[in-house]
Amino acid sequence: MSGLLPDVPYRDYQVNAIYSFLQHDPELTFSNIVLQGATGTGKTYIMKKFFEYNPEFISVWLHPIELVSWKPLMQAILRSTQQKLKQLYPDIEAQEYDPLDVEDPYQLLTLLESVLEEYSKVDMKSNLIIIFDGLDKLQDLDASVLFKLMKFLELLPDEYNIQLKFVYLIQDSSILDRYASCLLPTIVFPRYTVDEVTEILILTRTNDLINSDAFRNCILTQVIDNCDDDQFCKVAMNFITLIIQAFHPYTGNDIDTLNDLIDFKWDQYIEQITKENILDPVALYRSTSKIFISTEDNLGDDDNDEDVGADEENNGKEVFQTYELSTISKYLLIAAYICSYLEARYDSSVFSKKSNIKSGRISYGRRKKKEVNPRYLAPSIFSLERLFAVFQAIYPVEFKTESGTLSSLREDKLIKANMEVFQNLAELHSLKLVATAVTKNIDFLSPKVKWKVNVPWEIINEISESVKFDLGLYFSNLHD
Amino acid sequence: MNVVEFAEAQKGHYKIYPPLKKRKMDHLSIPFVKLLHGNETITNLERRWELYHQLHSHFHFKVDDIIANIETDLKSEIFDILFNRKDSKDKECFKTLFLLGSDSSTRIDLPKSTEDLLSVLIELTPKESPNVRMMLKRSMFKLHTAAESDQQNLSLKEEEQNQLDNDIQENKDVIDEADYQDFGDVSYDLTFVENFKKKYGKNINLVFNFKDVDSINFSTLDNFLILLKSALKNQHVDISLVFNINTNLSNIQKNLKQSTIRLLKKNYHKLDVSSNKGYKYGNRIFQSFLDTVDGKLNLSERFVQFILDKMANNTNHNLQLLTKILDYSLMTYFYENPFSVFIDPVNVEVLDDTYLKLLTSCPTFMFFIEGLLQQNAPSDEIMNLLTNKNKNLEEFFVDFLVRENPINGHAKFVAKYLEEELNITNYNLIELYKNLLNGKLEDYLKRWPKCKEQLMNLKFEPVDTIFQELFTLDNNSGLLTQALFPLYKSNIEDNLLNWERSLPSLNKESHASKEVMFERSVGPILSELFKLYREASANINLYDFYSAFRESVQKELLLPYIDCLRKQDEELDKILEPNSDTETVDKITLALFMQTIFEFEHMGFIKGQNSKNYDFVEKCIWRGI
Repeated sequence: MSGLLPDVPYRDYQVNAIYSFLQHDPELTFSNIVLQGATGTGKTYIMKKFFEYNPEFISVWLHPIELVSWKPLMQAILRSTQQKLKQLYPDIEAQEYDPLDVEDPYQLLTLLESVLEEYSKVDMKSNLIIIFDGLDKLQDLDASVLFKLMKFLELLPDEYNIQLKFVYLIQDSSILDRYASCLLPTIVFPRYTVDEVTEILILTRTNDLINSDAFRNCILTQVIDNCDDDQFCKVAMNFITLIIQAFHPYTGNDIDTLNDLIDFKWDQYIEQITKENILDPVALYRSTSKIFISTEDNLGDDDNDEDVGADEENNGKEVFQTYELSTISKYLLIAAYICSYLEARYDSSVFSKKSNIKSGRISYGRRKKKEVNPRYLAPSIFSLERLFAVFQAIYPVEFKTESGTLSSLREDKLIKANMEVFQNLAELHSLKLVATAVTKNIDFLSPKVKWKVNVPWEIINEISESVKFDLGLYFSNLHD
Repeated sequence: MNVVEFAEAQKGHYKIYPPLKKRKMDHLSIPFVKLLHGNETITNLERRWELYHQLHSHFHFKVDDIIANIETDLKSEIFDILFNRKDSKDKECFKTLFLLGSDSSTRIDLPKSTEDLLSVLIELTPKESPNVRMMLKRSMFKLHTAAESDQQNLSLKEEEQNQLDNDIQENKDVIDEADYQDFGDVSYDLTFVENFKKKYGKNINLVFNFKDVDSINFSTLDNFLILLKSALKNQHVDISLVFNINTNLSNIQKNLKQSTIRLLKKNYHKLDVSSNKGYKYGNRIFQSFLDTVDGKLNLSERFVQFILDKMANNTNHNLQLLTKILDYSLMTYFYENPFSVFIDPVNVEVLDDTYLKLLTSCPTFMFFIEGLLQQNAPSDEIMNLLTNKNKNLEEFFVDFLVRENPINGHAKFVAKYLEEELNITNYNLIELYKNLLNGKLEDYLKRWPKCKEQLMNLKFEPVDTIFQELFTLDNNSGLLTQALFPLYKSNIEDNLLNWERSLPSLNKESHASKEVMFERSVGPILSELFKLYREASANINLYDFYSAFRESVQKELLLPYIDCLRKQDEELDKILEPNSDTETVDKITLALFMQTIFEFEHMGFIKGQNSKNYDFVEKCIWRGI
């Protein structure tokens, strides 16, 4: 615990530094101060606390992330300064300037000068500290923004009684490297260690958790009356430690992510709490161990899990809707993938009926092994006819009649490109799973249009598995 | 140049509709033709047509109804999720709704704004969202206009009140206005949201409707969401996000940052809008079709299988496809089956010998007679049936006509049972129907563990009804496959090869001019050349191709045709004047050849010349596969 600020653990050095950089006397305070540290290292929290315990400082918070580009940032500086001063000194008759007049740094300067001049009537010299919370989150950040802000203060005359001071909170240390020559006073906030993270989370979240509605309901419904508050706290603390232990390899020391996970899992966790296991952490862990297995930070899977549980038997039926594509679409996509990643000159040996797929050199003829697996390269383009040819070769047609009978002669041996195929191709294109080589003014009817596939190996593999098509076979022996 | 013309000139491509000559119609306006070898009476034909029309319009009336219902169902569902569910969570998070399979046309209804709450719908299309700044600006602008118009409405009301009320109210108004001026600046960024409460004195409920999310740059979207997140810290702001997704969730998930996903996940709902997922609406349409045909028509197993196959092949427009197939099958049935007129039992009065003769040759009927023979039924009874003595056959037929189709009835029964007794809604009625037809209902129902115990109640033995083939929709000739899912290229190829089949025959028409006769004897040049094209290799040397073509043209047929044309066309005559016969033929064939080659190019048979080599054209095929 810091002696200077309560509720701020493990940050004594930083807090001391802030105290020494920020003084009441403008003469002694640096104009620009940088606080640098990754997200979740307590920069904002500490600054908030600092102003909370030192209310005599005048502070204004700006959030560059909301302001998007430098112009709104400049406008925000004027607007917030004006508002703050008006709020502090309502007695002083000051003229209002429209912040929207600020079109460039110079206008900001002139307007600010006149604002500050009017408020110079106050007795005491004091600082107005503007905090840029997350300056590097500004959307249109360029190298000159920070320069402009830094040098801006030097242009303001120092005889005014109100002096502006800027504090920048920055996450990315590489940005600061650009300004190394400016000798900005920088306070670095290192990441917390695991133990520190654990302690901080326990400190901040325990009360939250046991006061949550879900937990209260749980206690009421389960009629748990054998515990006191301390024991409830222990349950929550135990849960937090479990979360950290389980997900630390995934989250690192990122407090935000851990917080999110705690939120997600807590409801699930307390569902398992009963009167018997609330005092027995091991039993509780056993019954809830499932929730510590996956992070579950995906959107779709909840339903799928239920489906699998509900009707395992007709799993086979369900697959043909995976990825929400029809079978034809899937085969088209697979064909497109083959077209994009296998060279055209081997098509005849791979797909013709005469030579079945053989592994090894025979199937591709004598040649050198490729140095790079084509899957790692960008997809090459192909013409539509080739796609249809490959598609025809790989699409399995179900024969309804017995082979050898007369009626089997009437059936098509191969799928032909009919309306359905074209429809599905169009669908794939609008899903951006296949793309054309040029994107503008496409004339789909022209034979010159070249196509390419737009999905990575992982997805195509998943798709081909869903139709039980061994795509890997076509790509075996291509690389080591 | 006016605007329309200018826009026209900027187009990359044009559509030209050739003027269609209207084919001379018979004086009959009914497109049906007489069946029974042309012996069908006109009244029967008309009845058939009327009956078809009745059923068709009835069916479509119902389909429209169902589709309209989908819309309203959906709207209320969205409304429910967005505005009615009070979530206990007081954490800062978005209310997220993913509309899957949406075409972004779903409108979102807003609750009426109240004294202290203003709901604003902000729609963002991919075009409006090139970057975060523009997105923010646009949305804030929309919020501002909405707020202003709301304000105006309110002040109008207030003014009305003021006229009745006293001065105090006015005073208050003045104060209000002063307040507005304090925060009069409107910069289109989040400070507007922040100061909203101060300015308008209301809480806001922002609903962002992201249209066509897949086309929005994902990193932009991601940044925008992070930006919006910081607006959540204001107590008076509620933000709901609606994503119209037409790919799938995993696509979204892969493209957004994990932290954003977690943020969205805190309070999210999914809704499938595409109306083809799940079988609810498909079932309803199919059911209404069964109802429409009055339970009289059967669907053959092959036909049902066809529907299932085609629906599996088409993920996005399932309902339209289903309606289309059912429609078409109904039409063909009425078009080709003379017995269709008896779908309405009233029409039984027109039953006469021509129909009865056909009846006796029905396989099911013959089977029935065979059965009678085996059971040693009295022979005169059988003879009566076969010869329609004493109208025996007629009565027999009518007897079957008024019977309900047991399969349709049972399908409905099972569906109702599943839904009401067992609460199973994810069954596919079409698949169920198919299983009913081939007697495998039990296998189908076994999927649901709940059903296993109830199998006895739902048991069904398919029975052959006599004369059922007369009232069955089928796809036996592949007609539906051809008509609904035509093969483009092979159709063109077939027709080119057998042009005699597809062009109307001229034999009977005596009034055809000599010119047309000649033209026909030469045959379409396209198909002549196509025959050569078929034999050529993938790369065609144009000159060789031309020589072959010249040889193949039948000069003795071509020459009289040219002569005939020359008499009518002076210009042609002028060009060909000084030439001998061989030269004429050469000239004409060259012209025809060039014309045909270009047509081939447009038909997609050959690729046009590439810049390097003008001697060759390439076939639009892949290596002869």
